[in-house]
Amino acid sequence: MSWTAPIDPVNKKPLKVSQLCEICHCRKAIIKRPKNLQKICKECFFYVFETEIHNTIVNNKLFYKGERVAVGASGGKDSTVLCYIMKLLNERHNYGIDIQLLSIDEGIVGYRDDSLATVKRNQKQYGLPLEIVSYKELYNWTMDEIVAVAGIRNSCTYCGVFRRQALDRGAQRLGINHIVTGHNADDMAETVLMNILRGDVARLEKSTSIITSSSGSPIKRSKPFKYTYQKEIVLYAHYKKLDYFSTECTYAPEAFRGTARELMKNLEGIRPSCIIDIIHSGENLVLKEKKKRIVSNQSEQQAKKQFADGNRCERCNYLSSNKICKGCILLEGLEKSRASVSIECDSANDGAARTLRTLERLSF
Amino acid sequence: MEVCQRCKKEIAIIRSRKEFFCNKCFTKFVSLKQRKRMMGDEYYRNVFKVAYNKDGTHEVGKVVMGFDFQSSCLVALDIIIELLREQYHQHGGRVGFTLDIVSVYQNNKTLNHFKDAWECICSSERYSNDRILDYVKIHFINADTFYHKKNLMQILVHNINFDSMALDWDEKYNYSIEDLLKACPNRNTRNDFWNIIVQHTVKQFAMQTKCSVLIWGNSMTKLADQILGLVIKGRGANIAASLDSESLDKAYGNIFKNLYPMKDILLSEIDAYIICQKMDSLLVDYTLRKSLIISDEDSKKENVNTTLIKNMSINELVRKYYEDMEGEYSNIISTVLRTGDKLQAPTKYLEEGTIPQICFICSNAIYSNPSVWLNSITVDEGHPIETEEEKEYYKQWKESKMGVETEQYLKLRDYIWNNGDAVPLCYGCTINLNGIKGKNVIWPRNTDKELQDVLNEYQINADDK
Ligand code: SF4
Ligand SMILES: [Zn+2]
Ligand SMILES: [Zn+2]
Ligand SMILES: [Zn+2]
Ligand SMILES: [Zn+2]
Repeated sequence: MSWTAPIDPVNKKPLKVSQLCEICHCRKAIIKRPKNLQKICKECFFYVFETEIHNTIVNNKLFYKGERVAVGASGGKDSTVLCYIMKLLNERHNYGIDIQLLSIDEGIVGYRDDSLATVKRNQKQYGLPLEIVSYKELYNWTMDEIVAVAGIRNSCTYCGVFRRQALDRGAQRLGINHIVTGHNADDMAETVLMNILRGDVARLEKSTSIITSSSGSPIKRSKPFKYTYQKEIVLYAHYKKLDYFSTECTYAPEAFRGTARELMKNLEGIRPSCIIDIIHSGENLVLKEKKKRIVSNQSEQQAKKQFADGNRCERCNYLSSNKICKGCILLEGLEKSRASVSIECDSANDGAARTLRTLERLSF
Repeated sequence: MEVCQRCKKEIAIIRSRKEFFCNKCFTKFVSLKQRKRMMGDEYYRNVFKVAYNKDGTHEVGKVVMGFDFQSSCLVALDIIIELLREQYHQHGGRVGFTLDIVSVYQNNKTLNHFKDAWECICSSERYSNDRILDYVKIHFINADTFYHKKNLMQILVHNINFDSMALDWDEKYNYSIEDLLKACPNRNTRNDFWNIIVQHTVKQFAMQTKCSVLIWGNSMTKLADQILGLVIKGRGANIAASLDSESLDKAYGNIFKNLYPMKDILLSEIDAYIICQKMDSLLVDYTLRKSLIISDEDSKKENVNTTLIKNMSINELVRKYYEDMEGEYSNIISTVLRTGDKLQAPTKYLEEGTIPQICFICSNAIYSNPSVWLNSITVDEGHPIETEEEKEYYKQWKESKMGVETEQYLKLRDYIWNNGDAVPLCYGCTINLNGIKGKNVIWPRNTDKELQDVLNEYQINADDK
C-alpha cells in the first residue's frame, strides 16, 4: 500500500527548541495529542497511534491466527481508518487473520449512497473483498421509507435494531463469526455517561466491554478503537490522506445523546484525559450483588421457561430472547402504518422522507 | 393563585416536584425527609433518640458534622436543632445526642468569616431564645494542621510507566496548603486536593472524638454532582464507598458511620427552605436559588453560572449540566443518585483473598493498578532519530532549558526510584499528579500512631473476611 508523506515545509526555517516533538525531541511537533496534550511530530504520532491499537488488540487477545474477520465499513472516518489499520497491523505483526469488508446499506439518499461509493474505493485501495447487505433486501424497507412513516425522531431506534441484525446476517453469509467495528473511546465514554444519566443499570456493567456477543450467538463483536480518541482518528486519516466520507447522517441523533455529547465536549476542554478516565470508571462500575442475583435468576428462569435452546424468532429465525424478535416487531408496526399512509398519500419513497425532514426542521 | 396541595387551606408559595406547598407544609416536607434518614435504621435511631437505661440514666449519642456555612449545612443544622428542642421538651430537659460541628478554614480571612457567621447564628432569634445551642459545639480547624508536625514525603509519578514512589522530604515541617494549591495546574485539581484535605481533617476529628455518627450536609444535588464527577475523574470504583452510610468507616478505625441526611432533598428545595424560614441572613458568601418560589418568576433565569466553562472544575460543570437539563429531563439528579446507590466496590479485580491497597493521597481503596492500566493503553516512545539534522536538534533540546527541566525531573525520578519506597496511588490521584508540573506533590506521611494502629486493625479485619 502506498501513502504519500505529507509535504515537508519548503522554506526550512531552523526550528526553535520549543517547537520540537515532546517524545523524540528531534522533529517538529505538529500535533497536540488530545489524549494527554503532548505535542508530537508526525512520525511519532503514527508510531504511538498504531502501537496503542496494536497493544489493545494483543492485550485483549482479540484475534487468533487464521481467524476470519469482517470489518464493519461505512466509509466514515472511523471505519476507514479501521480498515487501513487492520490491514497494516495484520501485515506488520503477522496476526494471520483474513479480513473482509462488510457494509450495510440503510438506504439513506444523500448519505449512505455516497459513503458506500467511498467504501467501494477503499475496497480497491486496500485490495480487500467487500460484502454489502441492504435493509431493502433484508426487510423490504429503506431507512428513507421508514422515516417517511415513523418520523425522524425514531430513526435511530429502527436503524440501530436493523443494523445489528444486518451485520450478523452479513457475517453469517460470509461464514464469519467476528465483526470488528470502529467504535472509539469517545463513543464508549458517551455511552457510559448516558447509561448513568438514564439510570440504565442493565447496560451499565457491559458498556465498556471490548468484546460483546448476544447470548447464544456465534458472532462476536470487538472494538479495537476502544481506547482511541476520535480526534486522533481524524488526525490520522488526515495525515495519512485516507479517502473517507465526512458527511454525517441526515437524520439527527437522538436529543438526549446530543446533551451528553455536549457535556463531554465541555469536559474535554477542562481535562482532555476525561475520555479515558470515564472508560476507566466504566470498567469499574459493578452492581450490588443482591439485585444482580435476583435479576439473573429471573432471566435464567425465563430463559428456561420459554426456550429450551436456540432462542430464535418465530418469524425470521434471528436470535431473540422473545418469541418474536425486536426487528420483526418493528417491521410489523411499520407495515401497519405503511398501509394507512399509502391511503393518505402515495409517498413511500425517499423524496417524501426528504420533505418530511425539511418540514420537521422548519417546525422547530 | 394556587392553594397548598397538602393542607388545602393556605396559599401555595412554593412549587417543587410538581406539587404546590404553603410555607408551613413545605418546611415540614423538607424536615421530614431529613428526619427519616436520621431515624431510618436502628444504628442511627439508637444514636439520635433519647434512650433510657433500666436504672433511669440515659445515654447521650455523640455526633459530629462537617460544616461549611452553605445552605445545606445550615438547613441540616436547623432541623437537627429543632429535633433537639423537641426532645428537650418531651423528655423533661433531656436530649438524645450532642453535636460537634467542624469547620475547616484555609486562612484567617475565612476563619473570621466563619466566626462572624457563627456569632450571627448564635445570636439570631431563632436559636437564642432558649439554651438549645448548649448541646451544639463548634470547632474551627486550620487546614494547615494537615501538614503541621508531620513527616512529609515527596510523591512522584513516573513519566513513562505511571508508577509512584516517595521519599522523605528534606524541608520537613515547612510546607503549607497554599504551596500545594499553588502547584496545581487548574481549578479542578485544586478543588480535588482541597476536598481530600477537608474530608480527612473532619474524619480525623470524628475519629478522635470517638463519635458514632459523622453527618455530611450534602444535598441530593451535590451528591449527584459527586457521583458523576467521580465517574468523569476515573474514580468510578469509589462511588459505592462515597455513598456508604451502612458500614463503619474502615479507613478511620471503624468508629463512626457517615450519614447523608439531606440525600433526599434537592438543593433548590434547601434554598427554598432558607427563604421560607427567613434564614438568608445567616449565610456566608452564598447566592440562593429561588427557582421554586412561585412569586419570583423573574428569578427563574438567575443563578446562571457566569464562570467561563474552561475555568470550571469538573463538579461545577456537572452542576451546570444538571441545571441546563432541569426543565426537560427533570429527574436526572435523582436518577443519577439511584444509579449510584446500586453500585458496589469492584472487588472482582482483586486477587482472591487479597485486600485492596489504600491510596496514599485520598485514602480510597485501589481495586486495580492504575499504572498497569495506563501502560496498556498509552505508548510514550516514538519514531527513532534518523537524520543528522534530527541528531542536531536533539542535542539542542538536551542543552536547552526544557531539556534541563526534563533532565532535572529525570534525575529526581531516578533518585527517588533508587532510594524511595513505593506508595500506591489510585487512578484519579495518579492522573492528578501526572498533570502537575514536575509530576510530584508533597504529602504527609502517616506516622500518626493512631491512624497507623487503625490501618493495621483495618487490614486484619478485612483479611479475616
Ligand atoms: S444516525 Fe441514526 S439513522 Fe443515521 S445511520 Fe446512524 S443510526 Fe441510522
Ligand atoms: Zn517525535
Ligand atoms: Zn424476527
Ligand atoms: Zn399547606
Ligand atoms: Zn487517590
